[in-house]
Amino acid sequence: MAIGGLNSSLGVDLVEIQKAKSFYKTHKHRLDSFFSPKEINFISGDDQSPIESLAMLLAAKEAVFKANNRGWMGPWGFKSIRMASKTKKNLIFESQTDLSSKNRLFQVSFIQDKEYVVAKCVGIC
Amino acid sequence: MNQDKNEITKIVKTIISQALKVEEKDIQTSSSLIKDLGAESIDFLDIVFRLEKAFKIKIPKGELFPEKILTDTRFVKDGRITPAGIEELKGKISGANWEEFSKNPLVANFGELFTVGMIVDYLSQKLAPVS
Repeated sequence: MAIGGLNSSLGVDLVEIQKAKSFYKTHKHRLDSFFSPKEINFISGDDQSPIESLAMLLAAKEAVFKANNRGWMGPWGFKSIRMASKTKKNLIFESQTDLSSKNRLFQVSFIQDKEYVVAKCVGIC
Repeated sequence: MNQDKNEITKIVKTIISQALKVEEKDIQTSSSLIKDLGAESIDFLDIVFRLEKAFKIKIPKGELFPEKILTDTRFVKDGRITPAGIEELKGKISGANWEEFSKNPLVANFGELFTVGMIVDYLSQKLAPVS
């Protein structure tokens, strides 16, 4: 899909907060195996609860995968997509290794209710 | 750690039952984690962590799931795994229905190949005594 001369791609994912809560409770001591220091800081930050932050990260990374048309990449695929920065409402991710879009940036916005976090991703070359 | 395949299978089914909230009786070695048991990406992470804890092992990148092949431009083109990529994957993963997958080898569909039995086979090899 081309917009204004740029190629962009879209990805959406949804994570159940209850699932993120169960994951956090069971594996919070292992999070640094799969998340960067910046992402660990985001999870433990003050903007929202660690569980909500974890759900946002998981949904965002999956949405980035989909925007990149990479499909399923396995657990270690999470590490290759890293949070670069955040704005007031959005998170920015970069692809660390990719077949055709090294250092491509992705902007992710969120919708959230009590049960789910939905991440919407736009990738721009 | 010496564990026979039956013992490993039992533990793996318990782990998958806990991670995916499915009954153990509904888990077969032929069950696809994604297609039959509804696993999502977070579940694969959860399962890997649980396997490492239960069997007291580390599962390095690329050993259980072939991420390196799926990000190699020799083996993936335009979202599809090339014939060379499928040959490479066959060497790493046994028991998959490669004939069926080869008809439409999308990277997006690759995860559906993963079965409970593949995890059991991987652990059986990893835990086998070194001769």
